[in-house]
Amino acid sequence: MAWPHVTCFGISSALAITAAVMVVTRRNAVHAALWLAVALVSTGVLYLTLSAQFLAVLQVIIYAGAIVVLFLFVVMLLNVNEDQATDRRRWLAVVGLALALVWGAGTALLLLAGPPAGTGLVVRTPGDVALRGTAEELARAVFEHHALAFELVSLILLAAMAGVIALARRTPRGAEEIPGKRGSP
Amino acid sequence: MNPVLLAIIKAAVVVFFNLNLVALMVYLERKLVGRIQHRVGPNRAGPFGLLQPMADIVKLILKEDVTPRGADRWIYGLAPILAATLAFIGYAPIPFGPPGWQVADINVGLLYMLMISSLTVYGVMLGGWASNSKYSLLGALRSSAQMISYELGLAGAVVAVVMVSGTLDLRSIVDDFQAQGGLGWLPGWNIASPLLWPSFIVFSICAYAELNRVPFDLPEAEGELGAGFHTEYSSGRFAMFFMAEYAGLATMSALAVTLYFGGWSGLGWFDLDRLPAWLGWYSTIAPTVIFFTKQMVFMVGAIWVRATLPRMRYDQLMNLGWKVLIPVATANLVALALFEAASQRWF
Repeated sequence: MAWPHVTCFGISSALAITAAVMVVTRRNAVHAALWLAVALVSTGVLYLTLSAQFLAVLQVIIYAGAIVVLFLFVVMLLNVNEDQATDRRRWLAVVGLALALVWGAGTALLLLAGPPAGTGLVVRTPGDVALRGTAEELARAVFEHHALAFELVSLILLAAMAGVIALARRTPRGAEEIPGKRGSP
Repeated sequence: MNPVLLAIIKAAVVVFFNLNLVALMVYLERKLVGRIQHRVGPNRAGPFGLLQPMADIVKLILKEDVTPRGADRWIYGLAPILAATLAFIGYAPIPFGPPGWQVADINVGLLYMLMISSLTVYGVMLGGWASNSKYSLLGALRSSAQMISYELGLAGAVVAVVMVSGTLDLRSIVDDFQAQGGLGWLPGWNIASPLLWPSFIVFSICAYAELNRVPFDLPEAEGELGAGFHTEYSSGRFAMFFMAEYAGLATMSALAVTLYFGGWSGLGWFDLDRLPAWLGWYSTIAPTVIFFTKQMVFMVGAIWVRATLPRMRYDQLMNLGWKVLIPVATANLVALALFEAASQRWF
């Protein structure tokens, strides 16, 4: 990688890690969600420095543009205050830390030793990613090689959507229909 | 020349141009809406009130910058900056002339535009929440629901163009028109294909909703919400929201021109090489002039719509988005896919 790429990579990875730490330490739910958006966008920039433009743009559209917006929406709608938002159970932090350590050690091992033989994992160079990360290549992979898996995943999503609608439409027993409630958000 | 330096210069020129366009649009909007409503519009500052935008800017900057008590200071300051920045960087992948006349030639330019448009909701949402005011919060919640809903329709409409052109690169989409050639005296723009008409209609309606313009300006419904998400903003911060709205309009108009109306290509009725030698410089800038003329048509159209249509009710807005526009966009996609498949098989 040329030096501007390396610099960019360094800055955005540092930002992603800082933001990720901020997400779990902020008391204010809106601040935490915003730091999550920062972490996700920085990850998108990381993809960009690895010349996977398509992946980078999708990362921002889906995570920062849709999912975090939804988080923020719910947080604002419910008006969560700081006491409710904080979980004070200590053991949760311990479990989280342990999981993070195991995950980090695994990643470090993988990076230091290279991918284990026979697992199908390969290390890609940025040039390689640029060839394989285009919209055309991705579409070919999804709609030709993995068409069945893709259709199955979309069926599962459809089932989830149907379930949500069924849950939302069910009026609790004894509850009266409030005029004008249906249809207005 | 150093490519990084060149990109910075191009970006600076485009931002400078767009900033001036904002001032012009503010004047034009007030003057045209006045005209349509049988009023005079601004006519005191300078000839025909032309200096009105200057006066507005001075007024806005000299006003007191108020931060409400209990506001989240950081986010309150961040929101207008975010809104203005996103509105201006959206213009980067738009090709406003032959190769080279573009800030950033991104091979997923169209997705980049959708990305920026999906991020603009942050400015509105955070501004409304951080103000610590119920009207602002209500405006912010309404507008985020609106913008998320209409984003789907917008993306669905744009995918139709991608299916016809077979690329996500905005420059290639424009080149694709020119390769098609026209039908008789009609230019071969995408809008010439009837299969793209529903897509264009859905795109236009969704674009107005994304920009929070009349008839979809519910986030700032004066009668119900004060001024919506920017009720508490004043001075320079309000000016940034204001600028973001017009810059967003410029970007959306430019996108509409690029996707459906041939970008920088002309009607092809006149061969620029036949210009006399002393006008030769004109053939260099002609494509850009053509592009901005088309863009201005869309922007003036938006002003016209604003002066004509009343604001929609919130439930009507949601019904239109989810029950009309998204199904229409989807049906259009299915029809296009069938047509493409059939044309590959039989024609």
